[in-house]
Amino acid sequence: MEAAVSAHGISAEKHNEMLKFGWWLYIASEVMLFASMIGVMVLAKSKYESPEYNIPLLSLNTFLLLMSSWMVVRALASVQEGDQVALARALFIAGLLGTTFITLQIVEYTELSHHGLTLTSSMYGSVFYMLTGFHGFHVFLGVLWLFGNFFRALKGHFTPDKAIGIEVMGLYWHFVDVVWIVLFTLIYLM
Amino acid sequence: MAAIEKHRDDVHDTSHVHHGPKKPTYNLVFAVLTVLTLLELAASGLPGVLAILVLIVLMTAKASLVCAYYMHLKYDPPLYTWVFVVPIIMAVAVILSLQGLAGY
Repeated sequence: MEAAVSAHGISAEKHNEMLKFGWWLYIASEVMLFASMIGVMVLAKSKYESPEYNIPLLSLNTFLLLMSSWMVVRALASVQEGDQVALARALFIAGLLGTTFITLQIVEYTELSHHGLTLTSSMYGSVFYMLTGFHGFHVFLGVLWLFGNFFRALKGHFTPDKAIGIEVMGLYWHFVDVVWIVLFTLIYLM
Repeated sequence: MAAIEKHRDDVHDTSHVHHGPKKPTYNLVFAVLTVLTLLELAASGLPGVLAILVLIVLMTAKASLVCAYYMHLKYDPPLYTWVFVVPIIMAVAVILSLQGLAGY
């Protein structure tokens, strides 16, 4: 069987592998970016008293993000099985879960600011909002991507042999999930 | 990219084969992640250093599961794993160095 050829004159499979490798390089750069901020956060925690966090709310947020990652891998499995309805449904639910995560993060910020933790109240506040806000911004971009792919899925853009758009979006979304797993433990539980 | 080429020759007979886990595996991983999160919440009540150690183990287990099964590192060429793991090692070194510089 003749392999599909992309617009750049290389096989579709080769193109997909290069795209995935590029995304892994991007994720590697993000690891270092988050590491620098997490390092300063750990330092701030050792110097300042941590505020009283709303752990039930944050646990719910953790669960929402884990569930959204689950929906994204189910979306990938669905497109590989050729199930367009399940694909669109999973992407929509994942987008809703991401949106809820951001909403609850705003609720958390509001609570903390009422308890005196603001961006300018201390070094702890500055680092806390910078780190969690930077992660939240990544979630926001991920939600836009999820809903973008949802609308593309409705138009039948993805097929079992054309699922790379879902796969690389998944890489990004799961990385955002991994960062939250680390933040949830290091900032809120320790 | 040579490692990717070799792996592709090994595991892909045609361009239509999708390697990686299926839905039941994804469901199981999600269930395990949920249980590990509940264990984390319980472990946060442990005394002092013990809590920190248990939490770090659970956090690492959760992150590893997501990377291995959801990000397909268990199924993709080892090169991807190295691209991810090397910066993580450097990241841990950066975080520990910062603590050292601050005198902790």
